[in-house]
Amino acid sequence: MARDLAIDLGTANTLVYMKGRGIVLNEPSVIAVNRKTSEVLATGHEAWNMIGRTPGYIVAVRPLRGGAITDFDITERMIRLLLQRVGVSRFTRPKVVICVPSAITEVERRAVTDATRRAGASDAQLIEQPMAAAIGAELPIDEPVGNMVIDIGGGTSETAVISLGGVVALEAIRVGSFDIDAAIQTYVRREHGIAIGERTAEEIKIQIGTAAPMPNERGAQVRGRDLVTGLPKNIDLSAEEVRFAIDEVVSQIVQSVTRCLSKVPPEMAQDFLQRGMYLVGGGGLLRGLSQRIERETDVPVRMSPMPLEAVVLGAGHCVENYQVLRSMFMGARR
Amino acid sequence: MIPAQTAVVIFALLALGCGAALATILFRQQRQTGIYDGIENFRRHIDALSPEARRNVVSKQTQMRGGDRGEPRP
Repeated sequence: MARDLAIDLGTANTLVYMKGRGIVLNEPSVIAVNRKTSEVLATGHEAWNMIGRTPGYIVAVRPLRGGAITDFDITERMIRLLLQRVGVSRFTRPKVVICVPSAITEVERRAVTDATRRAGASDAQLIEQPMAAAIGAELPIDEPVGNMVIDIGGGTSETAVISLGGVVALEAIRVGSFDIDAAIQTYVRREHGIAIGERTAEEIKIQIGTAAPMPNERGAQVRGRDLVTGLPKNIDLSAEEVRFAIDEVVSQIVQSVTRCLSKVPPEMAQDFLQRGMYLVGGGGLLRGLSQRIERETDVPVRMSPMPLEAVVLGAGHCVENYQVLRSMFMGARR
Repeated sequence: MIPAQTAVVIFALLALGCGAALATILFRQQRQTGIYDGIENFRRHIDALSPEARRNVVSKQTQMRGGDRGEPRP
């Protein structure tokens, strides 16, 4: 008998929850393919280590951008491999719940469900990421009070207000932590004249990136390729420079939170002042982001205890109660 | 006097008609949602989202995390 699954198919990471077992897989959403034979060479951590370091015939790619499938064929193969790795075979076809950004288009929805069904699922249902995040972050969404959740992923940032198991207000933008990495790459190229890769930019963000001035800020030495000479070069980058580089992206995220707050019925405004709003997703781990949002909205911001797993745990709970919570799936409400 | 054969046919037709009417009534009744069905469904839905119902999923993950902090996996 197949065990039903919940998949958080994120732009950055993919997590799989198995009914009755918990999270059974957590790895980067990367796949390495041989260009000549179209064979899959590696997925997950192994493929992530190859990014920017492959010979011409191998391509290591993220098949999702902004939470949407950019390469249908590669995504389908990635889902097929994921399902195989968690024990799905031709004879065991589980029901699968997939977490997707709320701003997903009809075409993208169909692409995700088709890819999952073709990969071996007997039924594929979609759930909005902020809703799953609110369930997984243990917010009291069963009560008639406003629960605000901000989910900052690799390619999308979504803010939702949830009450009595339904979405009251929602704001989603296709901006996420990959845009922060890209902003760092652009800044270093423009101001220091060196080219750095995606992974280096991500490391800079993790090491010294801040969204607001923080105590004990430090700098970092960055290695890249000089754009003029083409030779390797080291530069010193300060936390202040990184904050300046990513400010535009961070501002877009904060503005989307503000827009969501402005859509909320006035009765709920007092709920947020008391209970605050909750940050989930890898992007929420950026230092100073909660302080920045708090400063610009005057609403307390709290970090979810499991920010990276909240979405898949929420979807996992829906898998555990598949029949009762069917109405929460995207197709069921439209 | 109605011949016996005709009586049987009339009786059969009447029985068929009654049966069809009964089936229609039962089918309609089944399709009609009771006034309390919505309340019942909503309550079940909300109960499934309560912190008590969700605790199992989250605590399992917390336990797994706790286990991760111990011996490194091979």
